[in-house]
Amino acid sequence: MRSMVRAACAVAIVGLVATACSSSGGKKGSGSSSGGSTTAAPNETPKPGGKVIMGVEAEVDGFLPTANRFDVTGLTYASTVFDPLATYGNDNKVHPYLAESITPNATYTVWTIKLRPNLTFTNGDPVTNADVVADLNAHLKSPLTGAAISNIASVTPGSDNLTTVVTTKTPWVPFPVYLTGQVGFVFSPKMLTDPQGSQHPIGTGPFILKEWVPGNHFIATKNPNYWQKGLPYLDSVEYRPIVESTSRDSSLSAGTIDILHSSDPQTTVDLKSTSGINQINDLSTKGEVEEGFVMLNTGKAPLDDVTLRQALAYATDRKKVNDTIDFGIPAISDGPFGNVGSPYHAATGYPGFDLTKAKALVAQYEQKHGVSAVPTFELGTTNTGRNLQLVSLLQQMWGDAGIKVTIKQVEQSQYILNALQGKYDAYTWRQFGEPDPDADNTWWNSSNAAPEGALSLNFARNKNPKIDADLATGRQSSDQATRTAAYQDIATQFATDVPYVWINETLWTVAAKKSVRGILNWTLPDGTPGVDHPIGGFFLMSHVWQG
Amino acid sequence: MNALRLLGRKFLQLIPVLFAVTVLSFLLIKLLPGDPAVNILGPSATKEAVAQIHQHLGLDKPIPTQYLTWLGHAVTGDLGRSYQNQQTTTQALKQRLPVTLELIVLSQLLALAIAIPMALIAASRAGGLFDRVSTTIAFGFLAVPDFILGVVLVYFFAVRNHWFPATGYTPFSQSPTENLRGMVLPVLTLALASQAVYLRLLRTDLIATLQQDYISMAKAKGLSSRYILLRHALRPSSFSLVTVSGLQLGALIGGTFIVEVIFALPGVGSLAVQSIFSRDYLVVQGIVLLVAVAYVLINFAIDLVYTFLDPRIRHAGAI
Repeated sequence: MRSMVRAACAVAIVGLVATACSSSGGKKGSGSSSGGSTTAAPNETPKPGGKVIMGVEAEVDGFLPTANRFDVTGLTYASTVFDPLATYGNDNKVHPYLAESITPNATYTVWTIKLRPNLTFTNGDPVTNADVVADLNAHLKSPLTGAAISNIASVTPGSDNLTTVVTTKTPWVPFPVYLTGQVGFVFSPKMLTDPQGSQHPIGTGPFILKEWVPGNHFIATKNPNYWQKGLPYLDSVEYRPIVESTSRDSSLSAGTIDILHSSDPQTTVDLKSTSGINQINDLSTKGEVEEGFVMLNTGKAPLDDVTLRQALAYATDRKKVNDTIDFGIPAISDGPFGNVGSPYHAATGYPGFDLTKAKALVAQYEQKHGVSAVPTFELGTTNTGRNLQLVSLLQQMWGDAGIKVTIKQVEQSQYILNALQGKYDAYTWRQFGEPDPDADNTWWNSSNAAPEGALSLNFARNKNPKIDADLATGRQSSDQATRTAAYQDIATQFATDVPYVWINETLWTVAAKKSVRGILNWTLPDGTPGVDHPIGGFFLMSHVWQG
Repeated sequence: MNALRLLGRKFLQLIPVLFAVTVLSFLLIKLLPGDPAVNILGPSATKEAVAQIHQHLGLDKPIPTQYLTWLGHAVTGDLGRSYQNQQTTTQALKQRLPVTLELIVLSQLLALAIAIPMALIAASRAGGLFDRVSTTIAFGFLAVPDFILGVVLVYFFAVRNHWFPATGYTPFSQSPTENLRGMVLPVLTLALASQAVYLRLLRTDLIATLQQDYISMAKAKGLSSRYILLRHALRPSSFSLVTVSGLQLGALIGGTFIVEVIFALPGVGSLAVQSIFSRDYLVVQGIVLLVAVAYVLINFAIDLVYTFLDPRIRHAGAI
């Protein structure tokens, strides 16, 4: 149940943008792989046929990209029956996938998406620009996915039946990133009008849904008319939701399943010495990963005082927390960007553990607010044992610095609602795994920070004009160096503002029997290599085969 | 005629019980913090989006209206649709119930098959070596929680020896062999805990029965100990066992969630947990209704069994 709960704590819209890497040019990203190289299989000829069973960490609520939330399991299921317009290559750039080309105008305010010719949905209907226009317009109206692409002004048909024109409100350089995930999956608009559409996916994907019994299994068989000739290699694939991570690990060890993904560091421990299994994890992934942190409500007392927030940062021994709660396996976090492989990561100047400095800042706070004003606030988390351990440890550390904290466990959906409404002091949180920081605009922009009681997507309610300017630069500049500098400056601003007390990074692991090939080392339709590691536990099943 | 009258009376009693259960459970679920719309939308839950989802799901209506709408549909067999995946509750229960029933029935049969002979032996030689060893083992199983026992069984029988699958469920209709292989470990997990309860209960009742005058009389008549145990002591000692095993059956219909989660079985228990976490009210209501009906029917069946166990009840018309 641990992973379910951890996943529940992750509230980033991971599905809206495929959680992907975007390493600096030419740097070959590779997940940390143990147990040999059979998973990568660089020189082997793929063998068609066979079946794999994959244990996934949760169940999805459906297949309709505009209505169902695609977390990593959702993306996995969706990529089985749909194809995205774009995906990531091993050069860490966005490449067209179902689209033949995605081209901007000179000012990046108009994007032209051209589909590959002769595509058909699995129901036999041809895929045309009318479908892409209908899909994107449905996303714009969707309460679930609309917010992420609200910078789109219009989506209209282009000059021929394969071309779609997307006009944006402002220059939007990283727009294609949004076509790699939930918004980019092309589905038949018939799903929108069918009341049961979310359960009957109609896409162009490598497999066709055969049977879905929610909570038990999702079985898909090979699409005989798939547009990428020779793919998929497997005859069928089965996904089994196994929410308890230890059970998932045992299932792989026992040979009940062939592949699993997990965001629980326990998996790395469980499978470390198991023979016949390869592990690929994020320890050396060259891309973004989700950060775990304590989010502080800067919109209300006492955490509206930056002195107290900085004291909390100095009072937090991140290494001890990481060692105690997560076996010391994930990387320690010092900002919103992964410090292992993110191109946006640089020294942030985030305060390290220093109890003396923390106590001095607390004294400074007390002096400012009155000698008897011992800083006191509520530290919230969700109802899980692991999270209770975490906040108890933080309570003790912060108590050592003279900060009094009471712990409150809150039900998951109420937790999100409280964060939205600002009805909290400090909450444990997991977010910011989007491959391009532009997707974080919503969470960091001052315009989305509202007072307590009003809904605010800037949950921490941190207002900083420099961050706003950097976000605009990141969105509108076509110069990657300028963008990188802007986002690095945001990380530095966070180190001073301390709206987030960083803890550690999320560690995703994909583990498979040694007979399973093709998770790494696959090729894009244009012949260039695809991204060479699972992205937040997600990879394309179309290229997997049984050796 | 008596039996028919009895059946009629029991079914009439069922209606207010079920009504009360559904009202209370509906209110309790509504009182819980959380909002399905926020669960569906996640962090992008703006005020407008939440309102839109509320309207779509009918959650903007007053609670009594929501309840009466649900009740109106429920009496016609329509338990509504899941907010999460749009699957009908009836369909979800139809898919899940056979898994849970198989798990419960097999585990309870196994538990009784272990507990009854052991209790007979232990009671016949109360204080002896077998009694002391079986009591110790029973206390051991009572003390070990299901989730520990399950994990240990998985480790030895699935991970180390690959004798049984660690997780998953194959329908009996698809492959009887695979179905039974998959059920061995979860059934054993539940059965080992249950048999300890049954063993302790039956042993105690048997020892008390064996001290009755009519047992001494039977012994004086020269009847064998085995005959006395099976023919004269077992039946009157089974009241507590029947009551507890019946209640256990009812409780397990919604209470197997730990075992179902550990072994990734798609049963009613795991559905209940999933639905409660996601505030999927209509599915939770459907499960509550199912469990309530099961309880009432099982208690009814227990009452009937009493009449066969003890003729005094039948003749006195006590039920």
